[in-house]
Amino acid sequence: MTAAVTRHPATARAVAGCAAAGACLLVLTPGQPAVAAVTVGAATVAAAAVAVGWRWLGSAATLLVTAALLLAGATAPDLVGPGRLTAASALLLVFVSGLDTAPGPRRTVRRDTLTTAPLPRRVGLPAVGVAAAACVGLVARQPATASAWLVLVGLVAAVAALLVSTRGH
Amino acid sequence: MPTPRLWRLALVAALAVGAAVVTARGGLAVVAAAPLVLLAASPRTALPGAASVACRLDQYRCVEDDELELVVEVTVAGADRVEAALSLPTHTTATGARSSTVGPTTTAHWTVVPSRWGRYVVGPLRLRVVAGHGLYAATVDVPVGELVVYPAGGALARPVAPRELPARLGEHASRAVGSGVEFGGVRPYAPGDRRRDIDWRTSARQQRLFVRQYAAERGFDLVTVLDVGVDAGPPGRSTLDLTVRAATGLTQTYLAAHDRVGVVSLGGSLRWLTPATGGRQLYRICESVMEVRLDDSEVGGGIDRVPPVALPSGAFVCVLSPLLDDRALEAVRDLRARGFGILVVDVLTEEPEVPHRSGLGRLALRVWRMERDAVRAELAGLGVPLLQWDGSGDLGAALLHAMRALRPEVRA
Repeated sequence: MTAAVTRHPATARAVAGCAAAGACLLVLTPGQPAVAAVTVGAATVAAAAVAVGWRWLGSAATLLVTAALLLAGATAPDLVGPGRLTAASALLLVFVSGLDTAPGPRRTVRRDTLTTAPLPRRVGLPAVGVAAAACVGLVARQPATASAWLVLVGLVAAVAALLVSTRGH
Repeated sequence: MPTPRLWRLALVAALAVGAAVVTARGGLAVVAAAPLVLLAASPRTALPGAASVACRLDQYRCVEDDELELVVEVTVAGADRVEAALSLPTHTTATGARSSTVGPTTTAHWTVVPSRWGRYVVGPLRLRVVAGHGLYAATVDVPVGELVVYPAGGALARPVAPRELPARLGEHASRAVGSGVEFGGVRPYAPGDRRRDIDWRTSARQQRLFVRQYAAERGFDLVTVLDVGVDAGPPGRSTLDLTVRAATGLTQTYLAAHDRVGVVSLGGSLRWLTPATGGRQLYRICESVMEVRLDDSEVGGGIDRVPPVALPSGAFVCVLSPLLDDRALEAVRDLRARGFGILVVDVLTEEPEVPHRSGLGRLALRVWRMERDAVRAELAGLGVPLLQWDGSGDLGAALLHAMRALRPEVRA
């Protein structure tokens, strides 16, 4: 089947911008000036990164949005619970993907997408990741008694995940 | 190589894990979970190992405004996305990118339209293959090739010829009697005439036998003189563009009529092609006139240095010039003194731009117009017809006027 392949850069930019704005709105908590300041700053930098397309600005925006999420989760755990964090992290994934697809500032030649993987293959793994995040949130919500073994197991799991990721790449 | 997405996901995961450990809040690990799953499930070892790319234009020689098809075939298994960015030269556009995928092979088509004559390097086509859920990408530049765009003709709908033609076979009906197909008159029957040539109607009217006569079919020599020392006007419609298109159009039309066509380029280095017939001569002339763009030197002298074989006696000369310097005028004087029939085609379509409020600018424009009027007056004094051509009209009427205005003493 033959199909037109011209990609509109505005679409990728709009998706990335909306995702960043959504993630910031989800973790915007009243009564927390520091969190609000970081969140607004992150949203501003994200909007600039989407509009301008500079790579370093995109990385800075990713860093700031992540920091806003973590700061909100750390300072207002009652308002920003695992459910909101899961939704915000899903939007963060969309934002990072959209940043990669949006054209850069110095691109003068139009880029056409000739083929893309089927939708289930593109969405499947991120969906699994979001499901894993939801599972982690559910587990984190359970009351747990602090113990050396629990901390050790947690640390070992985190280090193992990082090791698997870094060795695979 | 890794894409920015990989580094950004790793950054998010590391930050979230670090924050969860430092603050002792397991809920923050939620932010790290999705990026870690993506990173862990897309290792470098699972990337496609090889890809093949084939890229071709359906033709590498064309005429202005022809539509060419660029076909790209990419074969790669396991890619998430294949993107292509085609670098095009100036005066060339690509539209209608379409693709189809069968198995691991993707075929894409572009329609490439060059709008100005010249030699262009099309490409490279930059292909970007993204794999591993967007975490890795490979970029390769594929050369497309050199495209030769010949100028479009169309300056002349049908060939016209002088009344008297040299004794050489061709397709133009001449005044001389011969074995052509065009009716040339009747004469009384003489022993030896063919019976099928008898004109029965005239014979019945005159009560004696008459036979039909036919015009001899002759060819002639056309030499186009290109004054390319100056290029003025907007790209695509500059004097050089119009000169080259007019020369190509005249060459196409007269070569199709089996006349001999030659070319002399003035301005830059003097170069010429001796008149000849045939399809090969068309390409030789096209290649020759396309070379003039690259030439900005001033060597070789005037038209008096052109050998007689390139300007044969009796040839009709068509001078294509913007008439912006004396070189073309000197050539016309020289050719006129040597008895050639000449038509001068003025290809300058725009006046110089001067600021509206500049008194000196207006004065300079007036002087410039007066100089142009003086050139026209001198050409009229020489008896040389002058035609203003903007690339849209037909040169046939002016050529016919110039050819029929030839005095007997200037004919060969």
